[in-house]
Amino acid sequence: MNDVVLEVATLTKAFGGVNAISNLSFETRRGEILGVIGPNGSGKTTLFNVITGVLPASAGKVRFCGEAITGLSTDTISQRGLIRTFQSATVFKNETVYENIRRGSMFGCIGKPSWFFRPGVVANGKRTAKETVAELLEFSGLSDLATRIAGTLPYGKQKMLGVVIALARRPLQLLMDEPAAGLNPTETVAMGELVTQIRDKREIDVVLVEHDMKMVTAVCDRILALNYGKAIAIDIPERIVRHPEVIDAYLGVDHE
Amino acid sequence: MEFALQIVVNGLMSSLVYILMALGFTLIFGIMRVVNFAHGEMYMIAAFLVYALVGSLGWNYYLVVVLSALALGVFGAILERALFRPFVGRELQGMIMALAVSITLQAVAFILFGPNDLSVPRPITGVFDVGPMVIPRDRVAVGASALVVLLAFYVFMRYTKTGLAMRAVVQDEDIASIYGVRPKIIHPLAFGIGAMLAGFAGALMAPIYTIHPYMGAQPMLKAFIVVILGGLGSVPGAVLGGIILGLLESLFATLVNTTVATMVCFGIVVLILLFKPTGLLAR
Amino acid sequence: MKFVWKYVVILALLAVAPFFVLPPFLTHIGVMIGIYTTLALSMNLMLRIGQISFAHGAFMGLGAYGSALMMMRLDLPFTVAFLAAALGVALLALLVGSLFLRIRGVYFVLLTFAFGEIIVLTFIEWVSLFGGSGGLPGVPPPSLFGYAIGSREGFYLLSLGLAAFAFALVRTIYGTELGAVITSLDEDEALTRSLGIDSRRYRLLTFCVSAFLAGMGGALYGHYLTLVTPEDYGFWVPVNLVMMNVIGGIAQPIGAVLGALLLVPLPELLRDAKQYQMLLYGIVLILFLLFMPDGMHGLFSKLKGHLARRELSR
Repeated sequence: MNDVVLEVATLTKAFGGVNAISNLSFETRRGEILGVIGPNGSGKTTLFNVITGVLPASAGKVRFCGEAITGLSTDTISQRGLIRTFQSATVFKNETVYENIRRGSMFGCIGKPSWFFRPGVVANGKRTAKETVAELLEFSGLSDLATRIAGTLPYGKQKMLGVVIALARRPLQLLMDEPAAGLNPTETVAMGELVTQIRDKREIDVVLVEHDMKMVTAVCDRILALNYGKAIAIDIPERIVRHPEVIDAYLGVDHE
Repeated sequence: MEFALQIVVNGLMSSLVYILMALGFTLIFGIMRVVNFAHGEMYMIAAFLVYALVGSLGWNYYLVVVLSALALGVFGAILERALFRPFVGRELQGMIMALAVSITLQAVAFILFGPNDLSVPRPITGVFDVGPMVIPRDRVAVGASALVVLLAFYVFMRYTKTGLAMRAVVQDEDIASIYGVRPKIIHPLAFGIGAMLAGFAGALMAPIYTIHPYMGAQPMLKAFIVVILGGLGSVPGAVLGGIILGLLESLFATLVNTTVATMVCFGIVVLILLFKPTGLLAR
Repeated sequence: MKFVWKYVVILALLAVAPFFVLPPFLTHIGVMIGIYTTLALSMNLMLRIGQISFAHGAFMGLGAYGSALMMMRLDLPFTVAFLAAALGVALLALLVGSLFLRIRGVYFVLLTFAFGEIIVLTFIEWVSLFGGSGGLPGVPPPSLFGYAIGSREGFYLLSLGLAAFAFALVRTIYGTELGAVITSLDEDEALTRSLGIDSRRYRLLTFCVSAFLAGMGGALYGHYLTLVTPEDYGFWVPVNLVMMNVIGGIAQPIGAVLGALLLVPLPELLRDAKQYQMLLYGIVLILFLLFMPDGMHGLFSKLKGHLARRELSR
């Protein structure tokens, strides 16, 4: 239970003179769903962007499975098994649901154009992709929509598909950026179940940035509360919701 | 020493015309995100207006300079309304539209006036002998007129409500619209003013260079270089860029030749786009 | 397989056409269409990754000067000179591309424009090598397997072959996983990268293949005209290629072919009335931009993707 998967150490990200993240340290453990909460502008999405190499860190280190990943490019970090999903519904809008998932699976093996000189890579990848797509369509309940163009799906289904594309990539750990944002209550519940199943059935660790407190407290093992880029607390949900600073910074506003 | 001074004076006189061209170009990009590749054609049309009205009909040159600049202002606003409005913010498509407009206007000028070099008599002749330097009088007049127009533009942007609104749009159109700045008015106005400035440049330079349908290409290139030097969309940047380009060109043209001068300028453009695409003035 | 046969039949019909049906003038137009199809396809690759390159005129020119000079100065056989010139252009694209491709949108266009101008000015300024603004006269004719190709029909076959090669290449690229990656990069770069795709290398690869095709098209053009002048490779060449794609439609490689078929005969037919040709060009393009969003389907989604990326980076 004490295996550290993702380790963020004294991480700082400054925009101009302002620290979006300042001196942040935390770690996630094998088999854990870690929630990250905080008011708007508290640095949650920036945190994901820095971890996945979209933005360079100003200071500090990120380690994944014991290896430093700070300064690596997004695609290299992705190749190591750390995959993120996006806050908005991010799918290949002009392609079918099937093709979306297939690309998720396929792109893992053809990250660099050098596959061109290694025969068999594509053939193997295609075989795996076929199985992966079938299995994931079943898992996510999107089977009936397989031939639909992704951009024509309802928003909730698109967000679901965004998560499934990332799953097709076979992550070790999934960073989910507000999967429930923009969803109706039913869809939110379904998404919460999906997150739990991702951990329970697929044995993928999850870091979940989310605004919906019901979902976060229901799903997460521990919660990290951020405010102004700093950690206020990291603890089990029951204690986080009673933490005075967290209530001040976040819950208080929400419950008024 | 005198040699260096002559280079500087020649350079600064070109600078003023470049700035005139570049200001419009950068204003249009700053406000509409359209790279107006048809900007040189505004210059060309103004020169042809001078040719037609002064050369053929014998009107007063100075009156025609003002008239043709105003006419281009109206023409620019019409262009915006008719052709560019759907492409605001879609940079690549807007650019292709500008290229299409440029081709069309060149062809129209060709059909109306033919491909040959035309000229109008110079309204001012002779030179000033300032110590060891020789400065053509008409270039001084062009420089002075350009300066007046630039000052007027500065006052407009700095002190009028509309000018302030435009500067707000360059900064951030969304925020500007919250404060009641309406793009439907600001966009054609910006395009019109941009075209008017190019029209001034064209009308002022018409007696100095020959007039032909493709004459817009050179000043367009200069405006392009100036604007990249100073930062696409930046008005003070255009002024700085114009001065730098004028001096650089004058220096290299005197020391080597104009082709090398242009090459050096494009080399700098490449470097700036690669390493500081927001231009020299950006923080 | 059905597809392949369809193309073989079309190609065979086109290949024998000049010997039976086409008058010499139409054969000439055929040569030009073949060359421009290759070039338009080369630009199509760039449009697919959402980056319009105005350096393609210069790439053509380098292919033309390169192939001609290697035959004239080094006495290399045509095939070697032709391929070496195109590969050289691809190599240059590799070198500058690793720097240039970080820049996106209209800044990339302006960057490649300035770069192209520098190269064309070099053609003018370096008189001892490139012959100055007068150009390089007396470019030798190509030869294949020991036969010199001087006739119009010979050029027609060569140009048809080149266009067929380019079409097959681009179609194959779009049909394989490489095409899926290229399309994905354009549709949503952030998502594609998050799935592990090294976007820099894929963009670079596309740029190099595109430059390679431009180099070959340019080289053949030079041999056909027997004269290589700087002004043939300036700013308006890539503009023309973009226009062909816009009018033909960007979404499919066949669009580039259609664009070339439509726009190449125009200047040749209206040769004595260049001004009307330009007028027609300009007006047709304006009308397409305003009223034919279908023909421009690809560019639209490109711009959508571009804007989405910009918002993300804010």
